[in-house]
Amino acid sequence: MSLTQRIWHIVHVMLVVVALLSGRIVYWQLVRDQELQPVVLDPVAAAAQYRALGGDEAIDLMPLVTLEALPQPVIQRTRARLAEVRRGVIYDRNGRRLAYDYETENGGRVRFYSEPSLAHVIGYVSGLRTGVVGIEHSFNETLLGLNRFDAQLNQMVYQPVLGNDLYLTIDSRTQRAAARALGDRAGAVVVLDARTGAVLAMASQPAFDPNRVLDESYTRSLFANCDAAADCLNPFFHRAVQGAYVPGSTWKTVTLIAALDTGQASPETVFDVGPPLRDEQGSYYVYRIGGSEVVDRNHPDRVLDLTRAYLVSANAVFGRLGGEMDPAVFVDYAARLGFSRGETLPLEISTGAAQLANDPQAIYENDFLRAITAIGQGELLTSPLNMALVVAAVLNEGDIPRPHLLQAVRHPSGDLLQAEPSGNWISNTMRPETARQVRQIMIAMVRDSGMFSNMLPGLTIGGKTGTAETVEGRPPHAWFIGFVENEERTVVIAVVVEHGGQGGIVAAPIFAEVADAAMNHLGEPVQEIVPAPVAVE
Amino acid sequence: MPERLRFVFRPLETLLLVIVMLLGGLGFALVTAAIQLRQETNPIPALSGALLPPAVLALALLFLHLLLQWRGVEVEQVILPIVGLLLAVGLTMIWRLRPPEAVWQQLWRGFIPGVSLMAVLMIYPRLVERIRRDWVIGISLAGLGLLIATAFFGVVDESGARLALKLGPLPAVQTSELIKLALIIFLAWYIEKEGEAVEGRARSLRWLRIPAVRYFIPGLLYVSLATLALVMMSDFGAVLILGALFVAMLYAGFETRIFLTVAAVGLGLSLLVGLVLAFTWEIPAVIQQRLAAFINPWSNAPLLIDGQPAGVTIAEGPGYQIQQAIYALIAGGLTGTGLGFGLPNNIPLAHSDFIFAAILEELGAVVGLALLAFYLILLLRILRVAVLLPPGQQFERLLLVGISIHFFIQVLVMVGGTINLLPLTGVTLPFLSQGGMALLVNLTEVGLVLAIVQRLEAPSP
Repeated sequence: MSLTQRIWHIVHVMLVVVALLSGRIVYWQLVRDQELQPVVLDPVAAAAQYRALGGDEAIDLMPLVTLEALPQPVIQRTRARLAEVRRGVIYDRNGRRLAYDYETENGGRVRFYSEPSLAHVIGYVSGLRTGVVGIEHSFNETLLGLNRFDAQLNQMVYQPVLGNDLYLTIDSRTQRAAARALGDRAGAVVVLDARTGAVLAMASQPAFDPNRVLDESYTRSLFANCDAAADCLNPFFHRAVQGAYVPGSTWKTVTLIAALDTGQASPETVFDVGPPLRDEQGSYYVYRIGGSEVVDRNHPDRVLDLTRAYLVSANAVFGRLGGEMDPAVFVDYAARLGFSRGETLPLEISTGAAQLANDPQAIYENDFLRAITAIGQGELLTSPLNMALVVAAVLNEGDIPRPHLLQAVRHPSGDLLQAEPSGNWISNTMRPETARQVRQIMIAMVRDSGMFSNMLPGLTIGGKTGTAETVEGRPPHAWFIGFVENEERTVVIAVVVEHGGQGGIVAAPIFAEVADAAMNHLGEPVQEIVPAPVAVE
Repeated sequence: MPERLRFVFRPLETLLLVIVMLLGGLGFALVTAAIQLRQETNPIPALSGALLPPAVLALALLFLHLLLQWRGVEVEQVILPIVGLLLAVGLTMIWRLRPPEAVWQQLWRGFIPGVSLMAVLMIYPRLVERIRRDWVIGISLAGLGLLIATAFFGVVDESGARLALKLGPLPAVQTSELIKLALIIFLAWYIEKEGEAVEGRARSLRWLRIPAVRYFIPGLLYVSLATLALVMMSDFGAVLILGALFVAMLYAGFETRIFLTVAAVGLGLSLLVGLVLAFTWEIPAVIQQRLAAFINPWSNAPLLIDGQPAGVTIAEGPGYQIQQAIYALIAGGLTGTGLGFGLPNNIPLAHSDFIFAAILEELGAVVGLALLAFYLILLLRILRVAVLLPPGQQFERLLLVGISIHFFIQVLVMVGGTINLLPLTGVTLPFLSQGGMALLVNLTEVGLVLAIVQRLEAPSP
């Protein structure tokens, strides 16, 4: 074998090696590309990436993700990327800044939240540590401007990228009233513009300060008493849209709508609930079905019409309406009003799903379950926003407007990039005639109770109280859902106070306070909250 | 061989060199503009200063080009432009990654002396013959002697390695680069000289051909001493290159059966020595770190040296550099972030060991793969010369094989280490990495090739 031949062998080795080297480059770029993307702006993806790399420390997805756990090169590249971007400002409907970056003394930038009660709605973000909830999360790319073509061009030539600004439908004055009215009681308040579905305020308790949440010791202190207490309340849980509460008597509105709309009953239909029974707590009525009894202690009348039954919240009447209703109709009306199985609400932030029963089939088969579901007990679970949308349906002749938080997305130059969502979420949930009847009955309920006569003069008010039995030995959830109306606007308010007691006593005053703010003080300036002078971080 | 002093044109080389020069100028201009833009200053005034280094490069290439034309050499018009291209890319990246002084240092310490040596070799191609006849012993012994001197008296650099020798007022010399060329020359000469005797006197034993051991003793002694010195200096990259050169040149130089016999015996002996060393002498910490980082650069396991935790995880310690390189190459994607727009300075030693990662980030996989292709073409062109030379010129042919193997191993080890295909070893990428002595040696090797090339007849028209 000659030298020439042996050189050819060497050539072959060289070809193989260069092919291997090229293959390795292609491997990294094509096969491992997604998993190792150097710049991570999506916290959920970052957590997944960290796990894919074999990171063994647990990342706590709720309430926030710390990108500091990622490999150093990713952090450096993410920092470099973030340094070129000015995150957009979040405004309320009046142009007040709700979330913005400010420069600290050492030249760094820190995001400040000027309305801490909106923590659940807006979320929180700060460089490498970031929440995975709220507007900050769902509009992350928009706020960074990275989904904009001109921003991408800027980035290519290393010009700073200006993020888009977000305008929310929130009214700071109403928001503050809602948070103050709720106080430190666990629960939630939702305020909607009835015509458009715009969220004017959304409060959830217990809450947290988004300006401090990135401080780990503060976050720990929020859960400080959680080791011992069984009823530990998670302050990061957004009760207004994710809460799953037994709705109690407020649900009778849904049953009323179904009964009127199908012609099962009219407002004047008279019911005889049978002879009263008596025990140590006093006299009561029962509706017997499926071998069980729906107990009714809410009124003295044996004979009453449907309107009166709604006003006094007669369990025997509404239990009977549910029990005698075709189960398919029952489920259909619940679904029309937004209580579909497993379906979340169409809001810009993540919401929870309502449920009619643990096993939906049981509504068809178990008459007693259907009857107590019709009075808002049983296995029903719903969020305050869900109940507010029922009222909105009544006020819009059966149409449910799309609930939304976003009023506008604006380019840093001021140009409108995305307008306020409009249109209905669900149309024709009931006949307009039914809606008008229910509206009148809700107004009659408030007038009859005399609850707000001296608190809110000159306004048209309708509503329904709820006192939802939960577990044995604990006070019931206090509910109030209703609306307030004047010539200018109609506002829907839903209030729930966890284990608060009687709806009419506990929830109704909150409703009145928030309604006053929403009707008489909307858009008024609030006392501004500014960043503390001490530089954070 | 008669001197032919007939001016000829090398049109292909002219065309390719013009392209290379334009690319070099463009690269420097783009880097400068990008850096100025990032600082939000007007890029125009800085551009004139930025075009000086590529002008030096262009002038030197032009000079070598004219020299070859003046020498009347018509063959082999591809090697010089490829070397020029690699130099242009390398200098552009050093300009990008380091202060301007680094580029000038590379030019004055490596490039200009290298080009001068190339010019001398091209004007006096008979020097190759002189080397073979008269100087080879001197060169080999000088290389080895300097290396051993470095192992004992070398200057300790900031990383604690003893890689350079400082002689009086002269700048420090990295003798581990010199020994590679010395070994190539020595082996080429040695195999040519003893090859026939070895092959002629070998005895057959079934499948094996057993050469007389005594012919191997000087060669083995030379390689062993050099290896020992390099191990003392902890320069395992150089050990790897020396070993590869030794094996490849033995393979090229001897009949296959003899090579296999020697290789089998050599492998057995190495294993034995290795085992003995592994039990009596600890594996150097550097090698342990590199292996751990190679297996999983992201590992959060603590780094173990001799079984003891070293206080950092693999990801924080030795894996860090490889991680950075891989994130850089992914950030670059197919077309790169553009010169000046990536973050290659995140990679430790981006300008020397990891220059390929910096290129992948800012110029993309397209350029990275193209550079690999150009290296391959360069290697094949050199080996082509070796094939075309008449069989009588064994020394020159082996010299060319050795030179191409040297380039090849450098590319394999450094690119492979960068992209986690092989454990990381610190060598330089020929013509790309910053490193004056390495560039000087590599350019001298190209000079030897272009001197030997002149023996080939021009292809008949």
